[in-house]
Amino acid sequence: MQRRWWPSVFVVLAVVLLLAGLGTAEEPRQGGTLRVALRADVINFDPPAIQDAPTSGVAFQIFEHLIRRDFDGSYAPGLADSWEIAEDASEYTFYLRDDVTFHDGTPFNAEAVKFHYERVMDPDTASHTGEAFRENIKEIDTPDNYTVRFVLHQPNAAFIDEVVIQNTSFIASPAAIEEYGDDAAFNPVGTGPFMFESWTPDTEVVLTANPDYWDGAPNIDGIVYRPIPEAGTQLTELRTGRIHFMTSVPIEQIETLEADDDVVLVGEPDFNTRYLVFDLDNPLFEDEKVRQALSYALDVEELVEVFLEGVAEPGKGPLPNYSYYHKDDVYTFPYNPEKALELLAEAGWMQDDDGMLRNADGETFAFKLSTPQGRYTMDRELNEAVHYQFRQLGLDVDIEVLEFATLVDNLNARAFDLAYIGMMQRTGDPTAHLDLMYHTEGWANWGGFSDARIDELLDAGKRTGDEDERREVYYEAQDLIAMQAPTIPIMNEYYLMAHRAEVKDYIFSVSRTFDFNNLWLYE
Amino acid sequence: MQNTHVDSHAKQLPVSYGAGPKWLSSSRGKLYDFWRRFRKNRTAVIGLLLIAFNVSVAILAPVLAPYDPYEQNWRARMEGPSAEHWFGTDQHGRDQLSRIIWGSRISLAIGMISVSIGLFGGGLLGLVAGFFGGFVDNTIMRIMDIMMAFPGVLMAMALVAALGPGLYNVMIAVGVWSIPLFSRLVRGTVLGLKENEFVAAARAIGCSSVRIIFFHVLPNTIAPILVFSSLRMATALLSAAALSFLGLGAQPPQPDWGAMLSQGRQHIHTSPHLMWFPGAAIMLLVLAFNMLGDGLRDALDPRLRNS
Repeated sequence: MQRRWWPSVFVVLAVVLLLAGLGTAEEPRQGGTLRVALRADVINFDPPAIQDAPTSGVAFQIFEHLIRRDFDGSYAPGLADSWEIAEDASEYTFYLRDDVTFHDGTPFNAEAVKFHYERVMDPDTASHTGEAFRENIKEIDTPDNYTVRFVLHQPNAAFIDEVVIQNTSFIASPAAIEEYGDDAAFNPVGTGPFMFESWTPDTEVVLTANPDYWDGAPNIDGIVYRPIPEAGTQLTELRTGRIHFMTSVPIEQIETLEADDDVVLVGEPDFNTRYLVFDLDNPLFEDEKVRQALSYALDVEELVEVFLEGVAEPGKGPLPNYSYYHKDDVYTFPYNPEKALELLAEAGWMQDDDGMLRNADGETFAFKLSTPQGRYTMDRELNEAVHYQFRQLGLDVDIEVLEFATLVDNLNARAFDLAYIGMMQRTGDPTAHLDLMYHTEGWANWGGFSDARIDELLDAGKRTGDEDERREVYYEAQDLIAMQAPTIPIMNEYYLMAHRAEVKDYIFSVSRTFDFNNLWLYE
Repeated sequence: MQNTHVDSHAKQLPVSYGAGPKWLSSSRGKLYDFWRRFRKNRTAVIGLLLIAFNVSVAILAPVLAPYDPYEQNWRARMEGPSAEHWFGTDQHGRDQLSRIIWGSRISLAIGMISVSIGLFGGGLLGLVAGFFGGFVDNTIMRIMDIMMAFPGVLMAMALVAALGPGLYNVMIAVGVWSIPLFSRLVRGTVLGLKENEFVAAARAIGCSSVRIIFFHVLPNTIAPILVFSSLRMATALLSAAALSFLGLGAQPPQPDWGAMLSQGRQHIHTSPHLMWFPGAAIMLLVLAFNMLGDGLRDALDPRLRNS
């Protein structure tokens, strides 16, 4: 595992300094206001309506879920301190904390949870996830004041990802919803570490610390969010100290930020994959051997190390490397150009005197490599290198740099040969990746991959709640997919963010990007 | 008496118009005259030398380039200028000097092909419109007006968007955008020319319209076209660089100067040499064509010459 070597360097350094007595562990300073940039203004704080990233990030401070994802991506207790999943994944029971009150002083209990979910599911609420919730949830029982049981229409092992940790599942105070009615959009009342104070559209959103927060009151007094849509402006504000946080770092700013001592750039593996996808209808790529050969022909490890050091790591297999069910020893194609040529020869492609591959009819191996520009970190540069390695092998490949929207149109229309594309999800659950990309019915199955056994496995994985069983199913599926090489995994990109150096003890993780509860501000 | 009359009449005519086909037939004297004036203009001569240098570099690229412009060396990325790599290496560890040398071929090709498209398309339309006048003139020139209503780069971008990105499409786009400019220039010149006596004379002895256009009128439009073409080369190069900069032109890994400039820009703080060299190459060639164009105009324009 090459997981984040650089934070460990800092840890070692910090320990050394501590031992040397040069620095002593500092007591978190209390007080201060954290200033955070938003990419756009917030829209609507009523949980059933939350779907944009800026609002979601702010709402994350005000509201909570029954379960939350922990810093390592696993599930951790939230408003529920334990839960039970029926063996066939058709019933989910949550045992709630009994010491939680909403910001308006009303108690948090099973009724509040039931009220919330029924409101999201009510067609009159017109929540964008209403239908998905209705399709999942058959009924909600409250056997006692602190127990909630969801009975599903059919088993769904991905229920927590698909429903419980969605934005629309932020539990709001029923009393406040009744009091404010349609104005709930401007008066969010939850249970989280920060309480809503004010929102001046296009100017700022102000939150204050919740002194009675069940998981310990925050160190800071409050947070002020300011919408700053322009990345360059955000960068300037960060470097001049007018904001503490920049929530997404544009690729071209990385070098600038790395050189600035007042700024800390942090990166964490995210649940994404960036890969090359073959159009399997193209006669060139019909033969599995050809696809395997092209996989062997790329030195992915070297590529990622050279072009993306510190911002991504090489992809291994069809799942993101940090998915809970990722198989560490999944079938891969380590760089081996000789093997690639062998496989191509078996498929009828021989090098001529100039080193170009030709088939029996004397045709060259001609195809287009399509890549977006600026969509994924170093996408064009990376593919220029891929192009070079393919050319070295004797493939007659041309690069086509496309607008991202055009690339997606071409993928949908199956008007591509080999394309560089990514899949990004908030969860590492295989249902959110493999089902979309490799199931015959998947919407992101751009290349038209279809394998009866894999469909069977993926369906089985979705319909069981048993973790061991799921693991077994997904391990088999990962190997089966990898061996047939419908895609060439390239990398998993890190989620990058930058903050001022005076922000201390900030724990950054993709699953809890905006956890401002433990940090403190150094004067 | 007779002689005096002829002389005084000749003096009233603009020089470059009056000579008619003689501009070519007695070209030795005229050319010498032109060269004498041209070489006195120092900037124009420098421009010409720069262009000659660029053309030689382009022709001799395989001999001059120290490395294969496509060979990548990932472990030697973005290195600054050194004895080994005079212009440093780029994002893929390719030798920048070799890429700029090979890139001169692309730049000159863009300039020549796109200007040729504008020249032949626009020149022909302008000749026909100017010579025949009336309905033909109106139809052609209104279409040209419509084309000119669009800001140049915008039209080129629209064309490339329709044709798809790529070097050839950029040449076509920049060329098509030049058509109305050339057609207007040529039409204007022809309008002035066709009232001349040598045209009437040609008609009187029974020359066909085609013959008059190509053997009597066309040679007289060469001077302004030459000047404009040279200036237009500079614009074409810049526009093509702009289109490549926007990712619409040369496709990787072609060593196009505009594309190199564009790809170097995100490393401007850490590896500015990625922008210096292609930027300087573009600047020098554009400057050279502008200097040459100005010099040509000074040498060929009779009004400036008399003053």
